[in-house]
Formats: sequence, C-alpha cells, structure tokens
Amino acid sequence: MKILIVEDEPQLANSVQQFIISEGHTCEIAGDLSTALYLVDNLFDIIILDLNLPDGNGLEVVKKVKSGGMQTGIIILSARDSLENKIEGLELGADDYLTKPFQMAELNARLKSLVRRVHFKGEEIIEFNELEIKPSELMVKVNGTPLDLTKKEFDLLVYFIANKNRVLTKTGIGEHMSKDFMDYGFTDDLIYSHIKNLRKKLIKAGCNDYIKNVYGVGYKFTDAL
Amino acid sequence: MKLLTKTGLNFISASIFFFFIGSLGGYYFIRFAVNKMFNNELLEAQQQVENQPNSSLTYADVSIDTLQLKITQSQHTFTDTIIQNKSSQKYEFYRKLNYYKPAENNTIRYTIIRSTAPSDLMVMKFTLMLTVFPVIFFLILYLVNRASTRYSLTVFYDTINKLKAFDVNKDNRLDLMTSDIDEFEQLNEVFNAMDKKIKEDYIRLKEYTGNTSHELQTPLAIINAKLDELIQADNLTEEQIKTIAGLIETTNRLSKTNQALIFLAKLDNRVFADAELVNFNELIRKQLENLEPLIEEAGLKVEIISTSQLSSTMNVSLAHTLILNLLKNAIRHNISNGFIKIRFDNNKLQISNSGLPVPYEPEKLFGRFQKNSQHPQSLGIGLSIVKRICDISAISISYEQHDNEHIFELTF
Repeated sequence: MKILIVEDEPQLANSVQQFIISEGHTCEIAGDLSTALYLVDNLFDIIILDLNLPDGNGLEVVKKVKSGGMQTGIIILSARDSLENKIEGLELGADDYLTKPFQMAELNARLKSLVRRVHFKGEEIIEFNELEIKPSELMVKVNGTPLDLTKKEFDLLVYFIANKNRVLTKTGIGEHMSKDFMDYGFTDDLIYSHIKNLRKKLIKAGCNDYIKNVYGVGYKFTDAL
Repeated sequence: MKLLTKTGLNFISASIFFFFIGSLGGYYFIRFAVNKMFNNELLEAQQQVENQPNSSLTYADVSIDTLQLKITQSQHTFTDTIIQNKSSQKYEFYRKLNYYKPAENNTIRYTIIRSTAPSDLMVMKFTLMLTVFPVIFFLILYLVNRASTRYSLTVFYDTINKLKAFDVNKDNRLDLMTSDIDEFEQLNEVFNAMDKKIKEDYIRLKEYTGNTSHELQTPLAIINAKLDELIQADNLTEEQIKTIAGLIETTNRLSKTNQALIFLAKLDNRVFADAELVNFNELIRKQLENLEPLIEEAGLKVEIISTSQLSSTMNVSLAHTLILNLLKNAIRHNISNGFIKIRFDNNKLQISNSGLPVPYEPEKLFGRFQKNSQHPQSLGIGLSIVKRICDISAISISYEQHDNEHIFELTF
C-alpha cells in the first residue's frame, strides 16, 4: 500500500512514517502544501492529511484528489476539532477525520477500515485463527459458529484485531470507543466493563483468550504466549 | 429617577420659590405705590382744608380736635386704620393723616381719612394677576420644555435599549440613531467605536484561545505517538513499562483537560446554537443503557420514577453531554451497593444518588477544577460543564444534600 503523509511537524510525521512502514506499507512525507500537491500525482492509495500547513489549507489536496477522479482514500488528521471543520472536510470527499492528539492505534484502525472500504468495497473478511469477522455485516464467527455481540463489543474486537500484537493503552481504547461526541469522556471503568464482557463472550464461544492484560497500561491482543 | 422627572422637579421647585418671592415683592411694591398715592391725596386735602376751612371734600373726611397740649412743631403722620361703618356695621380700611396746628394755648389736631376700599380691590386684582399669569406661564414653559427634552432624549433611550440588547457574540452592528444634539452624537460615536473595538478584541481573544488550545494538540499528539512507539518495544522491564504507563496517563489527563477547556470555550462561544425538541425520558434511557456495564460493576440500583414525559427544546449534543455528565457523576461519587434515583416531572428532572458527604461547600460544586480528594482521577470539570450547559440552555440547576443523598434538580 502506498501512503502519503502530509504533515508539517517533522517529529510527528516521522513517528507516523515509522509506524506505517512497520505495518508493511511504503510511505512518503510532504512537509507543506506545495510538495503535497506535487506528490499527489504519483497516485497514492491513502493520504494522511494535516489541514494547518505553513503555506495553505490542506483541503486543497482533497479538492485536487477528488477532481482528478483518483481512487485515493484520505484521512484528515487535524488539530481543528469543530464540527464545521469535520463536515467541510468530509463533504469535500475526505473519507475520515481524526483530531489531534490521536492514538497511533486509532489511526491504524481507521487506516485498515479505509483500506477495506477503498480496495475491498467493504467485502473483506478479517480472519484471526478461529475468529472470522465480516465488518460490513457486523458478523463474528468462532470456529464457524456465529457469535452475538453488541455494537460496542464488535467495534472493540475489530479494533483489537486491527492492532494485534500491539500494546493498547486504556486511553487509546477509551478514545476509540467515544468516537462520537455522544460518549464524550469514557472512563477507564467503562472500558474495563466492555472488555470484560467481550472476553467472557469470546471464551464462552470457545475462543482462546487473546486479550491479554498489560499491567497498569492496558491490553494486548495476541496469540503469542 | 428619570432625567425628565428630575429636571421637571428642579424646574418646578425653583419656579415655586422664585415665584413666591416675586409675588411677595410685587405685592409690597404695589402696596407701597398705592400708599404713596393716598399720602399725596391726603396732603392735597390738607392744602384745601387750610386754604378754605369750610370747603367740603368729596373723597375724604376731615375732623378737627382741640388738644390741651402744646406742640411746638407741626408734624405729619400717615397711618392705616379700620373704622366701623355706622350704617352697615362693617369694618372698612382707611388711610389716615394726622397733623397738628398750634393755637393760642392749645393745639388743634386735624385728622383726614380716606377710604382705601377701591384701591384695595385694585391691589387684590394686581396680586391675582401677579399670581395667576406666572403660574400659567410657568406651566406652559414647563410643558414645552418637557416635550422638547423628551423628544431630544429619544435618541438617548434608543441608545440605551440597543446597548441593553448588545451581545458580543452577535455579528450585527450596534447601529445607533444619529442625533442633532452634539452630546448624544458624540456619545453614540463613542459607543459605535467601542462596539467595533469590543467585537474585534473578542474575536481576537476567541481566536487566541482556540489557537492556544489547538497549538497544544500537536505537541500532545507527538508525545502520544512517541510514547506509543516506546511501549511497543519488546525488551522493556516492568519498571520501564510502569514509568511509560505513568507518562501516558499524565499525557492523557493533560489532553483531556485541554479538550474539556476547548469544549468550555466552545460553550462560551455559543457554538452549539441549533436547538430541537429533546425527550429526556428517552435520552436518560439511552444513556443508562450505555452506562449499564459501569452501573452493574458498581453494584448500583437504578430507580426511575416517571409521572410524565419531559421534553424541552435545546441542542441535542449538549443534552447528551448534560445527562451523561450528571449520570457519570452519580455513578462515580456513589458508595458500593448504593442507589441512583431518577425522577421525572412535568418540567423537572431529579437525579439523586447515595454517597458520602461532600467535604466542601455545595456552592463550590459547580466550580472549575473542584475535586473530591477521594477521586484523584476526576478532572473536576464535569459539573462545571453541566452548569455552563444549563446556563446556556436556560435550565436552572440546583443541588441539595440530605442524609448522604445527593440531589441534582433540573428545572426546565
């Protein structure tokens, strides 16, 4: 997967780049708007886009990509968090909007979800050992038997699998679960409750306990011992 | 006191005072002039009496007395006197002249009196004129003055009304009326300039607050990303993991505080202006469903007493935040195996929970960064968000504490 990061803060850009390379993608960085507009012609699969650039508004990139009819997915990653900004970005054709500060795991989950939408038209099936997940249908199967999960638990499971083998902080999980403004400020206790319920259901259905506690930090979804 | 009333009262009291002095002075002046006239007439009569001792005067009476004393000098005295009219038994006013003439061994006193009745009438009429005309004159003057002041003040009242309605958050200009009175014109110019300046400053301040908070977001994002990188390493000791976990926790608190402050700033900036009808029974039911695992975990008993449907017009996302914050507060500050009671009324929503007594004054409960030492994790900002939302949405909120029961009541 070819990914372009448009971000004027080199520290942040480098962190994201390292992370994306570790996930097995190729990645380029554009530090300002003019570089970004120039590089866009190279047909990236996904662009991670900051809006506040030193020489202009990142939305120009969205406009160029969408007017060029490219099959490029765009995730806006901005410090602007007002609803108007989000709506404006999404209406111009961006696929997702993530506000800073963000969790790397969250960006990863959004990236994977976007890849599914852009390249598999949402038909992709996520498989992990005995687990089989069809995100478009909110369906989970353990060893071929469907499992009944709530929307939140399902969401949590997809998030865990997208970030498998990574330490996920309680903070990151909380932010992921409170995406919409409605649940503004999830507490650690609530996250704990949801994870506990998900774990119970998975184990009861005969699934291995992949959700490991990382003491004091959070959780890790892994089949390693 | 209104300016119009104040100036009117001043005008009236000054008028009464000067009018009183003026009339009194006028009365005495007329009296003095009239007496002077009578004195002259009496002296004229004296001349006639002396020239022709037996001449009869048509306008005065003369009486002559012989006094048994010697007066060396002739002297004149004028006095006012009252004499009873013999036929009508009425007392009448007279002007009297006494003068003495020395004879061989005695003195003759001449007394000439003249009725002042006709002139008294004149004096009365003059005095009346002095009283009535100025009163009418002053009254007309006062009314004209009042009308003219009132007319001039319309601009002033217009300015006051527009200033009352002034809202720094609104985009429209103040647009004060122009006036032909220099002072008001100047005042309005000053206000217009001030309006422009305040709004400019306010916008700049808003931008500044927004920018500061946003500028904090990127560094926080970098710290987050770096910490995440660190914690993914395989060769960390438990000590190191704990340290990094502590850093993540602290960064999280920092960014949550920042987000809460941005949210409060947005509330102050009235970002959430659009309102619609919100059913609170439905909203509470939904939020309780969301919080179900948490309530179960804390072993709380939730009791809903609903006598009617409660709906109010307000911003939906604010309503969600309001209820969520109140419910989270009721869960967090509860005791194990405690309860949460939710009571709906026509226009009232009551959320009460069991809990330990609050160690500080209830009034401070809604202040920013007001924390309970038993819950060091809480930011102490949730209830101040609740208060702000209530202020903005015209909901009155009250808090009471009864026997370890904490009651929040919203009145719509």
